[in-house]
Amino acid sequence: MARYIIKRILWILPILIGVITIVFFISALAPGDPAASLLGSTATQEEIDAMHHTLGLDQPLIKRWFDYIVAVFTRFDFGTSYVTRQPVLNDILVYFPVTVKLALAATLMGVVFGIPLGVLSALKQYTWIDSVILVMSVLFISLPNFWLAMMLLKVFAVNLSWVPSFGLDRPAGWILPILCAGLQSMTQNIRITRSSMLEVMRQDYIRTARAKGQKEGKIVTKHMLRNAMIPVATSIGSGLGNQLGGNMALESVFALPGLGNYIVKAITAINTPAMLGGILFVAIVFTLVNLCVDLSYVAIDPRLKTRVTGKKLSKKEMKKMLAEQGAV
Amino acid sequence: MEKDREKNIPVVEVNDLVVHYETYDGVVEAVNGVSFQIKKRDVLGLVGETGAGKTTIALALMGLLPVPPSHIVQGSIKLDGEEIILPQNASKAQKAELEKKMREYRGKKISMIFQDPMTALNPVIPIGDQISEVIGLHEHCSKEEAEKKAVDMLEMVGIRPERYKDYPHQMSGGMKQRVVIAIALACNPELLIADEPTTALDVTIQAQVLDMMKDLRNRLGTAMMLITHDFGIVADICNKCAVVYAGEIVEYGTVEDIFDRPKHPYTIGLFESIPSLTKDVDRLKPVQGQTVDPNDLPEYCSFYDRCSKCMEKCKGCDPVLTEVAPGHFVKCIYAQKEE
Repeated sequence: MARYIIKRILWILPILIGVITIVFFISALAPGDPAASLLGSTATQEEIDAMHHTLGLDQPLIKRWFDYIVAVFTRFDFGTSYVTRQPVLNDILVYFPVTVKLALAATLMGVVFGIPLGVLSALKQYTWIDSVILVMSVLFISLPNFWLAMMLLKVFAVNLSWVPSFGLDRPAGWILPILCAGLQSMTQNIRITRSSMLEVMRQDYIRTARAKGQKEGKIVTKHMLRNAMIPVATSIGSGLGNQLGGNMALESVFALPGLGNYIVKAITAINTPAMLGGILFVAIVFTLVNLCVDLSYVAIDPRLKTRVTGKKLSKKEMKKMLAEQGAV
Repeated sequence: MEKDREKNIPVVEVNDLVVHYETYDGVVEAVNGVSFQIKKRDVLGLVGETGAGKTTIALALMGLLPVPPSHIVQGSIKLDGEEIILPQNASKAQKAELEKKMREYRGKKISMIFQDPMTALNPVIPIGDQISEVIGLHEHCSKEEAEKKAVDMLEMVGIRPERYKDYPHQMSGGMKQRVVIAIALACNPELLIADEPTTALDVTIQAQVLDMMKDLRNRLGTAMMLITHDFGIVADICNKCAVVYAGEIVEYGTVEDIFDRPKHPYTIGLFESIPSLTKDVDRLKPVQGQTVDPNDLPEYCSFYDRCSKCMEKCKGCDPVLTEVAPGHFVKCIYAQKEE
């Protein structure tokens, strides 16, 4: 198991190099000069050249790319923000907690409401309960996130004044962003839980459980749920990964100081190191979350355990195992 | 209770059972007026082609027919003299009460070995726990006792107790089937339904499973219903045999009746399609044609189109199951006339 985890963590390195390379060259190709944008429209050519030199932009592209990779991997240095003149990593660590809180709360809401509703919908397939849940989930999954955010703001913050329209100084400020992100996560979970449950309900082993005289409720909790959770875990994991990467639209609408907002601001200001560092950070988080999701499969589905922890058997062990399988 | 047994009340008595599957493509007439009874110590073999309705009969006995699409149109099933089919207009409360009663019977009074061991076990629960589950449900004992009994069951079917915590995917098909059998036998059922229990097994393990079942009958007098394609198994373990065709019993009798004096052209055809060790035959004789479509059964004898002995008269009416010799029933005009 430990070997598998280490192997997976080491895989982050090539992924990061790939991400750096792609983002680095795209931002180099993109129009706009960070130095000019920093100094404003009154700057002279000399000032701009001097700024190029300070920022290291007069170096050849390939050298800058190589230096950046070396800095990331040897000193864990993601560069220095052009705007704040701070190491990018320090900036990110200020913004990231907001994103984490929002992501965890939304995912929690998605799990707590989404899975039970999905199960209910499957158990009551083709009844009015199922229809109501399905219509609701189709509705929320079709509404664009930012639009829903603005409508919620309009109704609850502007018209009703129940919650502040921006800022997180009061706990009430969290309500709308969490509701908005959570609804989306919830509908995703409802749909996947439902279809997965419908699949599991038809399986032969459910009939076996009934043939034992097991109660229906117990059949759901003991025999169906765990089998149905495998695809749901993927959905929860990828949802969490996405949210941890910063929910750019939501964070912009609610003006939250989160990672998504940080990256968006960096892009508009042509603050290349901040953007690059932000995206790199997202890539790392995403890979780690994915690893956790994969590990959760092993906890849910024992069939995968052998595949993950499986050692190669020696010939003798193999023979012993085969003998056991065949003979009594 | 024991006295009732002496009076020989059948463990299960099925009368004129009709089961339909209602699908979008039409009504599938899976079981059409089947009647039989199984007494204590009896082993009834149910033989017939795929799709003849054998498994549907078994699931009806278990009360496990999926509703919808299945629909018990008429008939009665009595477990130990107790009716388990409700009239069409039964109230919700009656249904709930019956379901509660059936839950107590399933696994305890009547249990079933399913056809496909590869899918019959829950992939995420250790096999030992799957056995102890049924014991815990019916024996009213502590968890430890149930686990201990599950270990005994594992040993009985020839699996080492160390494998209690193993998952189904860690076992071969034969071992899984033995686990399924252990679950079915765990609470010493009065009626055991075995749906092709040996199809997935190799010959040596087949023999062990059959020995186990025979032992159960001899020791506890368990009544059994064995569904199979294999006449060899019927000859080995059954004392009664019913040949099923298109959801009907076309011939019923003791194993001797069926094997030595088969009357129905279909039964005769089945025997002719079995290779013989003693006679030298160049070509086996299959039963010609395809099984009738259960979506569209004829008004007359459903075997008419494939029958080698069919007569003009056969198209006129649907024959009824008639006793041609004591205890030997045939549903065929030709065979009845011959008598």
